[in-house]
Amino acid sequence: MWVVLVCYAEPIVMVLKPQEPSVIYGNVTKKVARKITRSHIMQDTPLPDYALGSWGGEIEGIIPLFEQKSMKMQERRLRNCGFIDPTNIGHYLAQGGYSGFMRALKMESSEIIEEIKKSGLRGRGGAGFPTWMKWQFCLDSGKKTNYLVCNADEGEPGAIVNRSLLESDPHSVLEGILIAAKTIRAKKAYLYCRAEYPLALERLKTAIKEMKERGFLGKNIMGSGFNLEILIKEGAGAFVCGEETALLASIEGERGTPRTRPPFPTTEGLFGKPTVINNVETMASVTQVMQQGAEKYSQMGTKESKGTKTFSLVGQVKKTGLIEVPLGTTLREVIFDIGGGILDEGEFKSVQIGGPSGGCVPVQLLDTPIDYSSLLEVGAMMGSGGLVVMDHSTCMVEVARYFLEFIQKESCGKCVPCRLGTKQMLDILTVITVDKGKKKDLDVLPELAEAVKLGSLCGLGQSAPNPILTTMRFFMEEYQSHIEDGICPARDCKEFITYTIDSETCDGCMGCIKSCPVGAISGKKDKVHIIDTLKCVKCGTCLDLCKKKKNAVILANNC
Amino acid sequence: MGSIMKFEEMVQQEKKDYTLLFSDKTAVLVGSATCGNSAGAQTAKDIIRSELSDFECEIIDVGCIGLLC
Repeated sequence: MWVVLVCYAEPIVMVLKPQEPSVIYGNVTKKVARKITRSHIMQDTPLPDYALGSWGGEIEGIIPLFEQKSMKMQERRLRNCGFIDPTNIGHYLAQGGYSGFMRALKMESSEIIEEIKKSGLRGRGGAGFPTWMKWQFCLDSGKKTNYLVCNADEGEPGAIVNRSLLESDPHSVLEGILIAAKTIRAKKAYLYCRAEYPLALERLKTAIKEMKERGFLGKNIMGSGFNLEILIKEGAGAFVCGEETALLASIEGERGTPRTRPPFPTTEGLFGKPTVINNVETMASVTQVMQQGAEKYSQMGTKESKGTKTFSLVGQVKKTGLIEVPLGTTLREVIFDIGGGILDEGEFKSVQIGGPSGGCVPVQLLDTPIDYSSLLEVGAMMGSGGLVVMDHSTCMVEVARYFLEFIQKESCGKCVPCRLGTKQMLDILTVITVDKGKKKDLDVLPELAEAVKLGSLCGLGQSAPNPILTTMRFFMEEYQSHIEDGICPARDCKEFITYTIDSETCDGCMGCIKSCPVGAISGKKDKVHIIDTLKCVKCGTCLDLCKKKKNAVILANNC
Repeated sequence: MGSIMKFEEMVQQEKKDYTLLFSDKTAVLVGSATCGNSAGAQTAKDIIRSELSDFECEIIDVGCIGLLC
């Protein structure tokens, strides 16, 4: 509905000329590509009208990229993304690649764990468990065979963090895998990536091939005696397989369903052996810690949440795309200073953070810092990096229904409270959004939510009610309006609204008549048009069209 | 020790090649991650390539340049 999965300025092209500042161009259409080629590339005349920024010097009319407010606030683990060819290991090496792993080769496992501990790195997959501790638990199990698994099963609607990293800088993730595997003495590592990411998979396969050719993978890596094999396991796209025990079951060839813990995977994981599971961003962060040192890494972020976090900023915000900020940056800074504020000068209403299992944060909490504990306090969670911004035209009851529908479809069905509870909650929300809600629904929903939270085995079920709980906590008046007054305040729920044409404003241009997909609008040229409300499917095509002309189509609540 | 020497030599060579790539001729980096490709990056690249014909220029597919700038 409001999720836009492309950076707002794509396609993006960067022109680098010897001894001159580079220029980054955005929205490069065919026409613009021709102009850039003829003017800048061939005749040394940059085009400020199409430039997003310059880099490495100043050019008249173009603001240097890193002097722009939105860039100043960002710190980039994605530093190589967009600057290197992801299919060329040489580019990665030239940027300091694999120096972190070479450093790790000279260290004992205990020393590497100490370094990661000093960095303060916590898992970037959502829960924020200290990375060093997982590694230590695995080593402490004392077993001979250990496994490392990199979780690239990114399934949140709107999140493209892992995909972008794998497509743009795969070696930074693979270097992290090498370091982690060396530390926990694993000889085999799995990278679990969804098959829906074909480009990421292609680039990973190329990167692994290059690693083998250069001696970074296989037997006796770089003459150190350390052996490692990295295997890619393609997932079929089930959201629940992002949960670590379901993911392990999937790798083993079983149906992807979670199991009870303990035993935790660090003691009994893949094929019954101790297993560390870290996500893509965590692996890239490990690389950064080992390349730059724990001290430098720990200077970013807050006391309890160190380093940076990547988010995909989507929804009703002017600039959509990937961002990377130090933890502790506030939601307001991300949405308004980096994202440029709300689209079409709209009014901010809420930001959904943490994916379908996350929460909706309202305007009064916009100054909440993005760190693990602050987000939990407001009923949200870090998740794997989706930040969906919503404006005044979004109905929060519908938002809760939308995310719950996603969760309900993705529930593996193993736990009764999750399987049936999410269905019951979804049915109630659906009823509310079609103007048939009852007052008692507002008592039943939190009761069901609590039961699902307590009775589910895995994170999916335990966090499934979050969208309901946070929207009820912060937007209760919207629920009440739907049920008690028969009004959708955002005028978003179709059953509550009617489209009409203002006879004073309509000039009879016939534009809406031609655009209506169901022929619900009638009238003659230069005469006022009429909408047949029985035929109207409330698609909003006429409203969008007329907004730009006469603004004669009126959207109103039925009451 | 041998492996560290080998690694350092490898890095020096790659740094040299990477610097050379951008120091004596024009280079164009095209953001070719899924987001860029879906928005038309490959079409833009094809146009730039066809327009250049005899002009010496390196066109390189890179990943996401989607900086929120």
